[in-house]
Amino acid sequence: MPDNSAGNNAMKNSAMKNFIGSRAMPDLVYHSPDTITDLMVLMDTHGTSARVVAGCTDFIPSIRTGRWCFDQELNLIDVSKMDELHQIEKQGDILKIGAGVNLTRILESPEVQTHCPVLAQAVEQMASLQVRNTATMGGNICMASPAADTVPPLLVLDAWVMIHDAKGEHKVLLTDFFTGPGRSVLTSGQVLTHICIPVKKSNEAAWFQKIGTRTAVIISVVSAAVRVNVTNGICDTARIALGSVAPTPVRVTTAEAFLEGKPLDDQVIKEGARLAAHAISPISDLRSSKEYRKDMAQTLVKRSITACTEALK
Amino acid sequence: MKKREERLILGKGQYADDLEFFNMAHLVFVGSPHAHARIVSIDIEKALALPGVITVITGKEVAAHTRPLPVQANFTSKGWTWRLADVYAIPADKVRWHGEPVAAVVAEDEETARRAADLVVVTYEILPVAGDVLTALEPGAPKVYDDWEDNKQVHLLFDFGDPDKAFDMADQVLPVTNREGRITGLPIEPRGCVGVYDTKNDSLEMWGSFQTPFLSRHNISATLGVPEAKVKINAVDIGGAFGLKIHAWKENVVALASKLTGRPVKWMEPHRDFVATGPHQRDVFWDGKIAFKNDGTLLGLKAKVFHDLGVESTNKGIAALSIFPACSSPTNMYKWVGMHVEGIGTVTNKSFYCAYRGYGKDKGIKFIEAAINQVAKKLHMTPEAIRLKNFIQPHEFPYHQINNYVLDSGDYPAVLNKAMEMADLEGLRKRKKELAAQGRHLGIGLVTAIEPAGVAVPNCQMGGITEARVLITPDGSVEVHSDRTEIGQGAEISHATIVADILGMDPAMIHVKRVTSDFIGQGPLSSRGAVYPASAVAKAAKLLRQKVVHCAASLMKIPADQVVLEKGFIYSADAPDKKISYAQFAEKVFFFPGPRGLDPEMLKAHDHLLDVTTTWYSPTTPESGSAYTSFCVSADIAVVEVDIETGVTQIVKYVHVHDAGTIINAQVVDGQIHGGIVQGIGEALYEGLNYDENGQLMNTSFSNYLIPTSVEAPDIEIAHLETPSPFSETGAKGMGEAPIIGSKAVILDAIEDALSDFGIRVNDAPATPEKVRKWIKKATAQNLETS
Repeated sequence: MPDNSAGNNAMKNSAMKNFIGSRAMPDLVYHSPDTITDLMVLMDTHGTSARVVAGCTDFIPSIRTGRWCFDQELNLIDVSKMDELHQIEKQGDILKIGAGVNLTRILESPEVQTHCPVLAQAVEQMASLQVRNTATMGGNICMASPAADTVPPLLVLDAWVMIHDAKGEHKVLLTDFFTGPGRSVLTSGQVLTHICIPVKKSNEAAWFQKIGTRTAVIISVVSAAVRVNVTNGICDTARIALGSVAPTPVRVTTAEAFLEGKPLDDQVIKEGARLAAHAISPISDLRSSKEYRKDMAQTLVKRSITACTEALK
Repeated sequence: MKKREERLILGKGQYADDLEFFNMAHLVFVGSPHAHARIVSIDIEKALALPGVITVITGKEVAAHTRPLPVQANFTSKGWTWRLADVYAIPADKVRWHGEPVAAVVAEDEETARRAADLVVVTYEILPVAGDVLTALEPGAPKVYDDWEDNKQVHLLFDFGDPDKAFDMADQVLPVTNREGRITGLPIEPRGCVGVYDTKNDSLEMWGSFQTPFLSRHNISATLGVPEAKVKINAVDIGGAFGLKIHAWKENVVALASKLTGRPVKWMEPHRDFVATGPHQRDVFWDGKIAFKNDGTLLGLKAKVFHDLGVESTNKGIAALSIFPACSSPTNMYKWVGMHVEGIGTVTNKSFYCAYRGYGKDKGIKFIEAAINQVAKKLHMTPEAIRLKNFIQPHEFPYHQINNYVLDSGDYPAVLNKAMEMADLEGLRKRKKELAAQGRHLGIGLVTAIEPAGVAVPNCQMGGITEARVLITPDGSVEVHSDRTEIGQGAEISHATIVADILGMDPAMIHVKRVTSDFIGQGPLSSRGAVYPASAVAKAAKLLRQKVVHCAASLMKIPADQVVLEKGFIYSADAPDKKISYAQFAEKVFFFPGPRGLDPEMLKAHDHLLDVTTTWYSPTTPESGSAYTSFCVSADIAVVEVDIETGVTQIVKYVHVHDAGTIINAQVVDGQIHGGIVQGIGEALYEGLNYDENGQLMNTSFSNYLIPTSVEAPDIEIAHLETPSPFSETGAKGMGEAPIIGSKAVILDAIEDALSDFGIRVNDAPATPEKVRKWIKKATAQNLETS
């Protein structure tokens, strides 16, 4: 899980540098700790000259394209061989997933499929088989991309992450984790170790949908996840999260509040979706205009809530 | 020979990046981050100071040691505009597009060269950008070439038949516009090569991903000033080309680097360089009107087509040349009274324009197919009815088209009828109605096309010259040489099949050799493979067969007309038991030709060498001026469903019926069809190179220049008809580009049909989900206003 803040000090302004199709790797010193303790020692020793990686599916392209540059020698700490980060385990009402678990394992895990199927649903639509085989859950979260497809499902499931540093372990709600595009609360010397997800309840349904310019291997133009818990025909909990519409993946609480306490009929769903789109102010970029993003956010939220109500029938 | 795919799948391919030479250095290009800027200074000291860096080549060295890139096509007659610019592989004074090389670093290894590339300090004076094809033509627009009057590179005017008469005869005239976005092709392997300059002999040899070694030699030797006879270019395994590897320019710098350093120098291009500094295509806008009668008879066209050519092509004039087929091809497969077409090419601060599957002959066909479907709608005819009414008929071949194309053969109605039968067109239309009742939007597209294939353009480097050599070695195995590089299109297996059939051998005995510049020809471009090189090889094999028969008759003391060549053996028709193998035969001819073997008269006449080199040229081109020799035929029917809330298009059915004459190898033809259709789908739905207002290319990677993956590729149902071409040696027609033409057009037509409730004209590719959604919203708002 790349500790994204660690290398920032060493990064240069990349504006208007020479156009070079594929840039050189920096001088690397490779470390592969076995335990959290070893990892903490390495991070303490190397400070801001260290960078934590796992699948490297973001790290290598970022170097090659010049998005990340390092003036000095870089201590690359590969956490992919740490057993402690590879578990998928149900502990009571919580599913605990190690940050080093790759996306293929998430997709194929019976625990994930049973206890938080919406996460598997999102992972299935991510990247290519080859990338899923090496990219990790922790990496997808720590890169803090507004378009990270695992994040909207985790947000609607009220997930939290465990962060380890020299002082020990502490918990951070995922809603509090992201601070901007490519930025999170992680500071130098901290590493994300686990993701904790409350397991699915019997009156609960969740759904994920994304739209991109192509079907497969595509970065989302908009992604949406929805969770509802329904008792006696009335929605008692609603969660709606959107990706690629703000500097970070976001929850749209106004729309959630509107749905709660109501029966999820067509009118309510339609209005909930309208409120969700109303709440966001996306930007225009290469992938999409802001208008299309708002338009799609509304459609995807509408379809996702509808899919949840269908699943609960 | 061993099957190519077996070798490649087992990892035994030898691509450019696999090349290793003793003492080899590595070259990396440094590109401009600006689209248009004067080069004030270049400081290479820091780069040179990095340990492992050997030299840095800038535009100054290139100007001092090489000549400008040579002119490859120049047509100045008939009062047309045709301008050419002096271009070097690396400019000394000014950069004209984002990514244009300003220096090349040569180092002991590639990573060091990359690192040093970041240390080259270039000071630029930024200039305003000519970025848009229309504003670039306005007075006062920033000029790409200072010595030109304006940014117009080409303006061509064509009158085919009698256009005015066509419009006089018309009951109706319909205006039609069409836009295709800027795209590129993406072979899995970018360009790359190794140059080895022999300083002792002042000669150069190169190995690499060369689509046309013979032309590359001509152009590299011309820029370097080394006689062609002292330059040899070798093609190695090529990971796709699609026309994009015809030209050589960065390769010239690699050769120069080897000359200056005295070392073998390797260059392997990253994909981002390939996209940003490689050939681009399409980016055209058509504005025309089509004339027709109320009964659906097509009469004529008057149209202008505007091309955004980017900067002057690295193979000068070849970008401009692509405007010829763009203007000629709207005739497609129909009878016309007349056409007036103008082609305009403008230079802008974008990467250069060159060949990519289709080149230009695709553009006119896509435009006219869209136009004809508009006419059909206007007249309440089905798309098939209007085509069946206007097709050239089977008994009319060879047909002299109004644009001088001599259409060789075909049964156009049969191809369309077969496609309609396979697709169950009536059933599909019923299904469309059923789904419409459920609020779903199914669309059926129908397009027919010919592909002008096998090019020979007189008066330029694409003149058509082609050589082939077929020889039998002393152990009876066969060597085949031609200009047809194996770029994944099945050149090797096709040649082997042709020669094996003619000589009566197993294809395993035929060895198709790697292509080098020793064999003359412009290679497999413009779907020439099955026309020119295959004909030259077939002709050489037929001449060789005569020699075999002659020698065998002499050796075996049997009449020549009794000699049978079959399954690797030679025998007399009346004594099939007394047979000799090719190995026995060859050994006798080579090593025991004396009086007890061959007839002494044969030896005196020097007539026993089992080695034929010959050439082939189109029988129709010299007199008609038709640049193409064969015209394959296809009909595409596609069914899409458009999600009107998101704008996403899903392809639910795809039928393709093809007639490319005699099929040499069915797998090869099917492979071309699958690949071409999927590439066409990419152009129709996803692909677009986006430059911002400063001339920065925004999408240079696979994550934002989107090509279809296997997930987006539909199941493609294929059927073949075989109407032999009377003009090629084997009856086969070129067909490599045909599938990309029909597929792009038919997907857009199907989307238009799916959106028929909204009255939307789909005339702007790619039809991305966002664009489709925007059209729907606009049409919905307009319909509300009018109702």
